[in-house]
Amino acid sequence: MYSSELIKGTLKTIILKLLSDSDKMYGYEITQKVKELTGGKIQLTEGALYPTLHAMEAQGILTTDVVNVGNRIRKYYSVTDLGKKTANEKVSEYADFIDTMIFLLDLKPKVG
Amino acid sequence: MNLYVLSEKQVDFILNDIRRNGIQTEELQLNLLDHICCLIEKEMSSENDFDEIYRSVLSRFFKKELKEIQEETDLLLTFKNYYAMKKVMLRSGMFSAVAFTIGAIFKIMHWPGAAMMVVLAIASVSFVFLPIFFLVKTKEVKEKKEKFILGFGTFFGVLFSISILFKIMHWPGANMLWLMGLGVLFFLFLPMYFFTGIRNPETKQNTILSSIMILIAGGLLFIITALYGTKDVENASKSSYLHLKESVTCISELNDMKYEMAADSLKGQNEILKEKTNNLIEKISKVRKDLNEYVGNGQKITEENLNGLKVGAGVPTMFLFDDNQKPKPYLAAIKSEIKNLKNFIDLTYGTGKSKLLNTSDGLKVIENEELKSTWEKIYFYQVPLDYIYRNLDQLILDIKMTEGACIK
Repeated sequence: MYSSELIKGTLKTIILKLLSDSDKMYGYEITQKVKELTGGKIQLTEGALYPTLHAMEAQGILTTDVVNVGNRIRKYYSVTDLGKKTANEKVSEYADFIDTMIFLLDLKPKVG
Repeated sequence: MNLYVLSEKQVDFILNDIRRNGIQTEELQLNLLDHICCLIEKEMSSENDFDEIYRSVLSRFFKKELKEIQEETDLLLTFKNYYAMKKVMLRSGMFSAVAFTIGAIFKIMHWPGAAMMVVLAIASVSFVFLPIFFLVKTKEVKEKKEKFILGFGTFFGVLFSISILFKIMHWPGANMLWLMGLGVLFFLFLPMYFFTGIRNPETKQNTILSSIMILIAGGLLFIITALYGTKDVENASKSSYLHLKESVTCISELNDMKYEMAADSLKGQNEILKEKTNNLIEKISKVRKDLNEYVGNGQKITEENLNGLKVGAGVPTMFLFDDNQKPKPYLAAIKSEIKNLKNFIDLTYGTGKSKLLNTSDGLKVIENEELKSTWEKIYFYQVPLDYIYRNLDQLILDIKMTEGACIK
């Protein structure tokens, strides 16, 4: 598992990418999906996930849908048009960042 | 996949528990509730484990307290507006400072537009700058007491600037606002500021010094209160105005008696004199009446409260003058009528009788070289309403007296 500092800077990008690729997701589903995709290497903490989700909703990047599930309510998140734009920007910015880091830290990509 | 489904009672229990632990936002409560329920349902196999599993699940959500999630959310949400707010605060503050300075210069020079600038400046200070200042600053301080101090300080600032606006516009209630502002300063802000600051050894010295400065500044402001219209001055001015009105009535009665006693042979020219005089006075009264209606818009003006009425110079000036400081037809009509009357008197009753109406070269008496101004400007431009009424009534008295001197 990676340190929380590393994850903190990329949390928004991860959420946006996941939500852009699917129709809508709820909080628990997001954490499970990330865990599953990364083989448990990245585990989002609830303490970081929900404040970020709420902030992104307030910024108009995400929108919510409320669904009744048994005896409780579930909030589904999906990206807005603005969110899709932001997702693209964030992902390409991050890709660029990785290239720079590889160069900066002198990491030779392994040739297969 | 879910082996177990939580009962309504258990869901309620969890909701109440996270509420108790400091999650206030409803949206956040719902999110956390669902998340916790998902986790529990996944891990639970029998009814008996609920409490234990709930505790263990909940503990994964925070480092020390569950409240952290609420605090982090609040921080992220306010942080978004924080910079925008600071920007608006700085801009409105700058705008106000510039508008104040320019407005003050305009006001002193009696240029048009001064009132509007001052009103805008004060509105932006009281309703934009100070409230945002309060919001931004309260975010930065932790203690409740300090927030109160900031609140009272802001409240004083708003009251104070609005009361200044009321003062310079001569709106009713100015003095009450002014004293309320000073009251907040002396009895709420200052004691709280002083007693909070003095307890902390680090801020003690500064607090004492600042408190003394605030006390001095507040005292000086309090002294200024006396500058504004003491009762004696108001009464003196009121009685002199009443005296003026009484003189007009007296002279009118005397003139009527004189008309009756005049020789029959002169009745013809006396009739013309009377008609011309009455025409002129009617014109003057008409201006008074129209002005009254214009100014009185939203404020009741009666003969009774007229004398003590403090209406700034801005509104009457707008009524009597155009944007280029040129008098509108109202005054020009009166001026030419005065000239007309004077010419008639000079021809019919001989020169010397019309000295009070010395209008032959555009009211020479009052448009003297020293003032380098015109009759309209001296008596009506940027002149407060009560003085305009007084000037108009003085003119009526002059006309009546001239009339009286002529009747034979």
